Amino acid sequence: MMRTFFARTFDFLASYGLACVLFLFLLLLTFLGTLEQVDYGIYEVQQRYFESLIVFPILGVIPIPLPGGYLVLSLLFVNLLCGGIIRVRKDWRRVGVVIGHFGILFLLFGGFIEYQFSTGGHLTLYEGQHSDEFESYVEYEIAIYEENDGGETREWLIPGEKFTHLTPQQSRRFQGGELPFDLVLHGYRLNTEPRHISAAMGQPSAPVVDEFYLTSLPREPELELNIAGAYVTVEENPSGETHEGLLWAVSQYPYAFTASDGTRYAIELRKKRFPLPFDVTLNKFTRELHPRTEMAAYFSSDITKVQDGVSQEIHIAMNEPLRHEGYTLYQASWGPQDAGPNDPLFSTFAVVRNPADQIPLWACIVITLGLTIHFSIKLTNYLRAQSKRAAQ
Amino acid sequence: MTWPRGVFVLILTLGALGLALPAADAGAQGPGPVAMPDEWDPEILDTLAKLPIQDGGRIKPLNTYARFALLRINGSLRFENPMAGSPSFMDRIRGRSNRMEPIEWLAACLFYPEAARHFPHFVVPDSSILDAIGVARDDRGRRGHYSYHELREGRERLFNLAQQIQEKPQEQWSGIERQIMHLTSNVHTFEMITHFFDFARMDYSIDGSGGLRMIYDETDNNYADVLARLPLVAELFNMLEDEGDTVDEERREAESNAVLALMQDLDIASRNSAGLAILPPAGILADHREWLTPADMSILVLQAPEPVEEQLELLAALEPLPGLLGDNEAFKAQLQEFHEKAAAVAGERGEYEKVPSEVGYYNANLLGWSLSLYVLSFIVVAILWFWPMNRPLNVGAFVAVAVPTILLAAAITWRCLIRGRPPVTTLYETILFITAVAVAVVLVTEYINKQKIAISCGAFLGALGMFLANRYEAREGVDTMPNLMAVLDTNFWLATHVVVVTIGYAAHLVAAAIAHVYIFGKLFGYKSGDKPFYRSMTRMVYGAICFGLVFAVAGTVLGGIWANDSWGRFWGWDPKENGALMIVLWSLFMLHARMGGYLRDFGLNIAAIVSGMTVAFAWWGVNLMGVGLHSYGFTSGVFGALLTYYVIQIFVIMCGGVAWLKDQGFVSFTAARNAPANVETSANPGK
Repeated sequence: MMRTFFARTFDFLASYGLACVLFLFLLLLTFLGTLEQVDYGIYEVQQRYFESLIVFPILGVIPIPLPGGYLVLSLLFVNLLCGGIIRVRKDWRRVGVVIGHFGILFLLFGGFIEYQFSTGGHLTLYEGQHSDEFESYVEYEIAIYEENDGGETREWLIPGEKFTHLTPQQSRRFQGGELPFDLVLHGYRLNTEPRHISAAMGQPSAPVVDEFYLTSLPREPELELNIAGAYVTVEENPSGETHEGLLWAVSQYPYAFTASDGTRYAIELRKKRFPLPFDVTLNKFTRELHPRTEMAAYFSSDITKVQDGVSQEIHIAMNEPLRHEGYTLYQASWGPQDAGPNDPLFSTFAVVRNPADQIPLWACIVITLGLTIHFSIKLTNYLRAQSKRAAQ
Repeated sequence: MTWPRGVFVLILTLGALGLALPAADAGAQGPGPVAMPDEWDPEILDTLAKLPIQDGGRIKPLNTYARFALLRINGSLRFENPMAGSPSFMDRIRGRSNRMEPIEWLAACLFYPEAARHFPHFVVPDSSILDAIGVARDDRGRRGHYSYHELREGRERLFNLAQQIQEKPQEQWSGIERQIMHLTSNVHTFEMITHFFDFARMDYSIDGSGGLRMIYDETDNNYADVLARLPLVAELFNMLEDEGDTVDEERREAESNAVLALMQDLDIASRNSAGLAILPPAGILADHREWLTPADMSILVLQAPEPVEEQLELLAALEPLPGLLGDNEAFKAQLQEFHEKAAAVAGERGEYEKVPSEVGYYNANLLGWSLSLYVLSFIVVAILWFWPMNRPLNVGAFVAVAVPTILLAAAITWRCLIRGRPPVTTLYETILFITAVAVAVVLVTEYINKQKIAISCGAFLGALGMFLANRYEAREGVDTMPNLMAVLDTNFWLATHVVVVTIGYAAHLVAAAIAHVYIFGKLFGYKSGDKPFYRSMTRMVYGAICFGLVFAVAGTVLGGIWANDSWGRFWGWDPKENGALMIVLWSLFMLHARMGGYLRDFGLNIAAIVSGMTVAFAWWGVNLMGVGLHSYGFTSGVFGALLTYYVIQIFVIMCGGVAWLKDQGFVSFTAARNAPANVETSANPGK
């Protein structure tokens, strides 16, 4: 009985029917996800459609649940393994199919590794600036650090997943731990702008801190264009003294206050930062336009990479990234776009750490090889049959 | 010294950069009008065509510039000289017409601007634009062609409207607003062309001043001569300012006025003659990437650290041309002299080599020939269906489809040689390449299968593809061999990812085309009892899908690898990537559903139609969405065509459903009148 159950389950998982249904679901998800990008931007659609177990498409009147990309691709992996590798008839005529299926399994595996273990962001530097960390395009964090005059500082971090889901009406308390205060975060807004109270019509509904209040702006479809903000209430322990602050993600200066013990602390809402195992200095940024046009023909950066006291001059250009210690730096963009001929320019590198970086290349070779072998065999058989028919 | 030069430069720069609409009466001071010839000397047109200019960031022949300017302004390359009168019947028989070649049209605009202002070449796609700009409409209907002369009274309102529209984001422009912007741009282009030689037509004010007369001779009244000694004029101006106390006030004023009058003239020349960057940088400017317009020269002579003699020599060779109109030989000799000099300088810079080849490419008109021959091949194939066993006709049909394909392939190769790039770099080139590959696939299929189905689809696909390319080029009206954005400009990935993925598109379109024949054949009962005939058609569809899948998978993954090298991510769920993935997924579905027995012959053919629709979405549909990294193709107007295609395809799928019901014996179109046929049909169930 049990054996029959397992056999049946295996048959189902290995079936053409399941494969067809999964292809159709993935096709539907891809189609709907593509259409929704117009209104919701790539990042959100990617999370909702392709990195989820279940998705409720916004298009249409009735929200019909669909299996999310993560679920469909996982099932496809299992289906491929059971049907395309284990159960497939093992003879020389199917060798191409097996190779092709191996390639696709490898590709799906690479996708899984990338999804689970890769990190990405950007590093933006003006000429002469240097940095040994990069920041996320969309993820936030709150940093609390002691402000002192250039000496060593201690830093405490609140990761974004603990507060970015909050609505402006919700609040969340963060226990200080070794810090002499608790933080209460409230009024979090995904896209906001601080305004002076004089710009408000009457009393603003949001709290006012130092004559400024946060106003909610419409959400931009491209998530990285939104600028988050929030209010923070600092409650000192054990005195109970409070400080009110306003955080804005692109604010030049962090919110700072002096605690009862005389220590000065700064609190900053910022894009999540990741350390790099080396330091990067931008020596020179070069851009060339096609003559008599505003169209970029070429842009590149000359950098110095310093690691363990060893420095190396490196040239990074479009399609010529720097790969080092699992990190890859790509020439992504530059700015400011409206800069004059003698204005300083910044260079932006996309930084990615992806252990599965080269898997797609190998998978592509394997898949193409497999499919070519398979269809060549089929074509040869067809031509043979054709010539036999002609002979008859 | 530096201050007055600065003032000079400022005034002249404002003129050149003012996006400055040309001063309308600038040409009035020049030589009297000469009647435009009915026919141009072919040697003059040849030489003009080969003149190199820098436009859109690249060096191209003036012929190419003329071609796309006419296409943009007139909406078509077909333009008849309105001054020449109707050709007689006998002239038409002899193949003579009043049609102006693009370079002839441009020559008329450059050298006979007053005549060109009466050319009815401005296409106004909607007559409500005329109402909006206050130009009286007549009986030319909703879409009509108007001359500059006719539009002139609405010019100011047109430009004001354009300014208002420009304040809005481009994606919010309505259809009519886009048309207004298009017309404004065309009027501006035309003005820049017709005023281009104003610098040469003007008389420069160097009378009435002793100071200027000391600098210039009696004969120095042309632009190049004036510019050659312009630094001295700046010094004179400086002297008048610095030593004002020692000079008689009246004389100082007269001298200053004379200098200012000359500057005013130069300002007009700077405004008007900025349309064509026709002067390759020479001598001390040789390392400049930007070519120069005559307008640029007035600033350059003041800014250059040393005299720019070689550059002025080039200008001096160009300048006499308008003055020589009416003397054909002298004009031709002068034009050839300028061409030789410009080509020599451009050649030294390595920028002239491809220019004659590009002229040859457009003159050969391989794509035009290809379109005509595909249409002809369609007729040959139609005849073949009446005599299917006629062997010469079979060979003839194959050749009739193969020849335009060879011409198309030659055109694609020629384009690659001109630009030094792989075959597919723009949306326009995808049409050419996909057409060529699709027809090549059907030729191979026909060679193997010999059922005449594939060859018929080839003739149709070829004619359709070339027609689409033709319409797309006319609609866009922009250079089809443009420079590329920095990230796309990589021959390795263009040669691999783009070429491979478009081969995948082509194969799927072939499958869809053959599936059409299957469905309509079944629907209309063609060879209804001939099972092998339909089986072989399904095999062809299946083969094309398999072939397409290999390339679609490889191309899509290669695209991911390119993205990984350029942007650091293999897959970003970008709309174009998704489009390619959808093709792959649909193909995988078709093949697996066939293996699993879910799709039989009918199902596979109907699925192949959907596969064609998926290709259309990936190829054109995602570009309409305006999001993502690949939305680089300007595709206004494509939406309507795409929608029509989808409606037709849904209709075909419905026809497929009806044909299936008929095949199963559920419905019959002929039951009442033709019982035996019905019996025969229902005797072959289960396909």
